[in-house]
Amino acid sequence: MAKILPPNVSEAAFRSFVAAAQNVVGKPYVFLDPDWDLTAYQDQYATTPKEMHQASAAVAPANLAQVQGILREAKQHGIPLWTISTGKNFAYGGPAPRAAGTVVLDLKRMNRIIEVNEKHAYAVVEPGVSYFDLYRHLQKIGSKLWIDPAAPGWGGVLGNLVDHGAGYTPYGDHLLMQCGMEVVLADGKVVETAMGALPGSKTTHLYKYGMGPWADGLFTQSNFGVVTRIGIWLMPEPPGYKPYMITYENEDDLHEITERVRPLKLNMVIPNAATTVEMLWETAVQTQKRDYYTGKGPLPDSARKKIREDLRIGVWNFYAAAYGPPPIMETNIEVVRDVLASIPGARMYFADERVGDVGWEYRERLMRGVPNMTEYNLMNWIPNGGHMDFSPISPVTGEDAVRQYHLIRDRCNKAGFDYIGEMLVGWRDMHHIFCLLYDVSDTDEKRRAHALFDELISAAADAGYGEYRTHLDFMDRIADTYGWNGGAQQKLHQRLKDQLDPAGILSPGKMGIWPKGRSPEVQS
Amino acid sequence: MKRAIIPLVLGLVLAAPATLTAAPDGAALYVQHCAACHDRGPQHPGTVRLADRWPQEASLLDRQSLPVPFVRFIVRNGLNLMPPFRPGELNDAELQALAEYLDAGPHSQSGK
Repeated sequence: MAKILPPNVSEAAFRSFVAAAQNVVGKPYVFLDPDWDLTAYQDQYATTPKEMHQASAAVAPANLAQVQGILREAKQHGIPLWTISTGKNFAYGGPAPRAAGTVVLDLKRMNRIIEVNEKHAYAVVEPGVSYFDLYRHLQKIGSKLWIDPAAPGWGGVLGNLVDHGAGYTPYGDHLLMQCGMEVVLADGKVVETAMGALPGSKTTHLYKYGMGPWADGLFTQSNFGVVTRIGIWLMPEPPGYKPYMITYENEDDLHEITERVRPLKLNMVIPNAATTVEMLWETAVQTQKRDYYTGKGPLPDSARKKIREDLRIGVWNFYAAAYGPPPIMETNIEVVRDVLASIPGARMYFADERVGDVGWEYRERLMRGVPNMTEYNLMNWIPNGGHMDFSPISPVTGEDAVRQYHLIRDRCNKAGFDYIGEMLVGWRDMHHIFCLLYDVSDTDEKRRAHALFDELISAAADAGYGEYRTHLDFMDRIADTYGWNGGAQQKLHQRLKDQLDPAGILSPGKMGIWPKGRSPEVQS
Repeated sequence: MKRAIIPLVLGLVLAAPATLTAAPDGAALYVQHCAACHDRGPQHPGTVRLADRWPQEASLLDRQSLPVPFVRFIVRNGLNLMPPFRPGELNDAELQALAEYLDAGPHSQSGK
């Protein structure tokens, strides 16, 4: 790839910034070679040309002072920075910046686990700490605390949380479990939020809200500051853990499953992510499409039936777990069995009945906080598989579940793709995750995948559903769907951006928030 | 002249702890960065993908030949579903140690 410059920055100014950045972090930690260092800052699964999100450079500070130093130099030289932590945000753009030419501020080297507090059950981590890192550390020190990993264990504890990610244990709402934040503003000022603002505070990681407005949320899915440290509550290892799976025979069962799951979640009979998985997700994590079908387009019904028999799965497959003292677990499971396994054709399984089942085993690990990478097997479903996730939020009702399922699956199949999806029920919502798989070596397939994604955004918004997170290419599009009252919320974001980052150096375009006058619409 | 050399040598010796760090441990780096995808078994997506081309050596642990330059290139550029690894997360010295570990395979056990 050719070298590029940040937008509206002269080569002289860029060179001056690079020299200053090298001075701050050391020459080995400023990356400039587009054919070596910077290839790894691309989105491996992009459906659009990689040049659209090519970094001009990357800078990797090792500590807070170096972050401040880089922000100072960026402001002075007018250089936009795109902040990443572990940089594994694949399906949503990976480590690549939204706008070509942006310099990546790579926080992976800030990988200290600053504290593990066994008594109060929390950890304090920097942005570079992955789920694997934290898990291994807890194992090493003999901790009795669990983590809550996202499905790919190489993800970042902090990065996933500030992108509103979720997991599969009872602590799966990651932002809810965050307590205490250190953030660097664009002018270099360091802020400790909430209780941490009190000098000598004894409760920085014990009470989330402090006094006054809770500012932490402003620094999630945003570009108002650089989060350099968080506290994260960890679940004490329970005295018992019993995962289960319930298979369902009919496509139409989705309605009844969802209706019956809602009260079980609202009343906390099911304490973790109650996940209803469509059969192709189960299939793709353990087999390849060519094993059942070598034609073009979506898998035919005849193959789907054979798969269900081979893998002992249903059209829908429900996963959750019981936690706690055995008598409580058994009571809860009895309730779940009565409510969910009484749907005609349903069958309930426990661990001893799924030995050697790859799909079961990785979920069994995730629901007890053991990170792994098995879900990446999804991309082995087809040769050269890449993916983007389309993730609308739904009410927990049968009607909405079925409507969303058809809204996505019907368009997906029509566009020639398999529907690979799951629905995770949290407190009051359902995350519908559609993993759009395509062949990254096939230009036409990538074009069609991109067009499908675009179509889904409109169809979902028209039906009253918004996405909770998205890929770089669709941030503006989805931000625009949140346009009630003349885009009042977007305008609020813009006012905050203008005040907190008047020079516009932090992550331009993140979630559709641009520095004043620099959005693509203004420039075109 | 001799007096000038002694302080210089002494200075180098005293400076050593600050400038030299322990050599990267390729085996540990394999566990940290590679094992979750490339250990043996169908739960490891890299192993599943590579079984197409190397059915008997699908896990990197079992590969007879993984030349250092090849490993270095794949790690920085990615292959199939494997995204590239950034120098910010795996620097060149670590990458070299990792590549040498893989080049020295096969290995009976992850990280050994």
